[in-house]
Amino acid sequence: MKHSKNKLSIYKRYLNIARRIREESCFKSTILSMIGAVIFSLFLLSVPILILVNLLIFTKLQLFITILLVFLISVWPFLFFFAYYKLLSQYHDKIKKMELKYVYWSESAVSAFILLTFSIAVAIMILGGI
Amino acid sequence: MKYYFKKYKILILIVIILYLPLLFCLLYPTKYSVTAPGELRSTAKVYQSDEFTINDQFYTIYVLGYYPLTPFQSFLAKRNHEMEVGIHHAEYRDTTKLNEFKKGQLSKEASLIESAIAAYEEAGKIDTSIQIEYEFRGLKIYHAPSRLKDLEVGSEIIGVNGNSYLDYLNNPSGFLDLVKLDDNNSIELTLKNGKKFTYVKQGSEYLAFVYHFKIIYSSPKLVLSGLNDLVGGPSGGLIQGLSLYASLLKINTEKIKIAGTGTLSYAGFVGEIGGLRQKIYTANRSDIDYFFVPKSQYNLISDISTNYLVFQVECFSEAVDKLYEALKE
Repeated sequence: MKHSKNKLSIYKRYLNIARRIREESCFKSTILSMIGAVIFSLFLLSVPILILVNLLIFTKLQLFITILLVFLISVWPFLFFFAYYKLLSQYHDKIKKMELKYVYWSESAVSAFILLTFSIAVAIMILGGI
Repeated sequence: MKYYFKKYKILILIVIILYLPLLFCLLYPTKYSVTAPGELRSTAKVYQSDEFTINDQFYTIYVLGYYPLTPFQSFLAKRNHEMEVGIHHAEYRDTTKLNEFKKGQLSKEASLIESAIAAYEEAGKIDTSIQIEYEFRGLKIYHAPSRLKDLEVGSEIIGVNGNSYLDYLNNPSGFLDLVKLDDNNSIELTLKNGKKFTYVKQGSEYLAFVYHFKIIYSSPKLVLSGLNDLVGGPSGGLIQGLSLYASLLKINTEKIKIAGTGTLSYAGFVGEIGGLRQKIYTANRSDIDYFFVPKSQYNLISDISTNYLVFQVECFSEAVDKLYEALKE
């Protein structure tokens, strides 16, 4: 009972912080932060991903490389949201003072889970040749 | 964003300068292609039947053919003795990735049907209850230059130079049969919809066809389940045929593992394939006992040491004899 109450309070805290971020931020700063976060995260991940894709000519390593690719794809939301909230807090001092770890971890984790599920399905289809 | 750009200006510039050549090496498409070792695939899923069990001791081998290589891939592949790097010639580049896929699927379909015909007919010599009826329906375009919009991969041809497609049936000289051009370097093709089309050859371009057979009846009944997977190409024909032959006659091959490569025509002719050296390297990584290759290509691999016995075969009946030989050992 106590455990579920804690869970509920974390969820309520997340909703509360997300609402406050929405109120404080504006369209322009959100778009600029998103663009910056996309550039930053892709900049960091594109080289390792491209190296792995290039190495797919070694069929012996295909399974190992595919697992690494799935892992890197799942890491992407964590980098994106890290850069996004860093940039957003630069535009708005009030957001900087908020406890952003709740929104950061929950949004990154949900996005990573969706990408992980999707990329595992694609990997199985490709490796299975079906 | 501006804040970070100003704060880390020098660092960002240095990283971008290093980053661009790296991206070039990882992304720029060169004119090189590679043939690399691949994997073994069991033939057990290629055919299915409710009336008999498909033997699972036979393996085909696929190799990786990839174009275009990036400079990084080219660098790695040229330093690997098991890979073959070469310039991808213009006439081979004259196709799209989608058409490459369609060609693989088309040749696989033709191969599955022709192998089934050869296997049923050979097995029917021993057990008369094994029967197959099939019909030759013409030729299908396997490759046509991209400038010819009327000829797509899979377009059906029912006549060549005014002759019926049946005139091209008794020429089992290989899987891809090039129709001879006349003195003016041209041929007239009749498409299935009745439309006539004159093809005039330009430069080194080429037209290639596969036979279009339809299985009308088979006893025991056979399903071509291999049509549903993404791996394409005709090079598994011989082993698929042998696997089906062994399955139809319920030959016990449990003690041996057999792999091989080579196309198989409906008339039992074993044809040449590409990437043979890479297939041998692939087989060397596994624990197979016997490997079948087309006799005409044995000279390409004679210098590679193998941990299995290599059988050179010209036709399906010879391959069947070698199979019995292997079972006796």
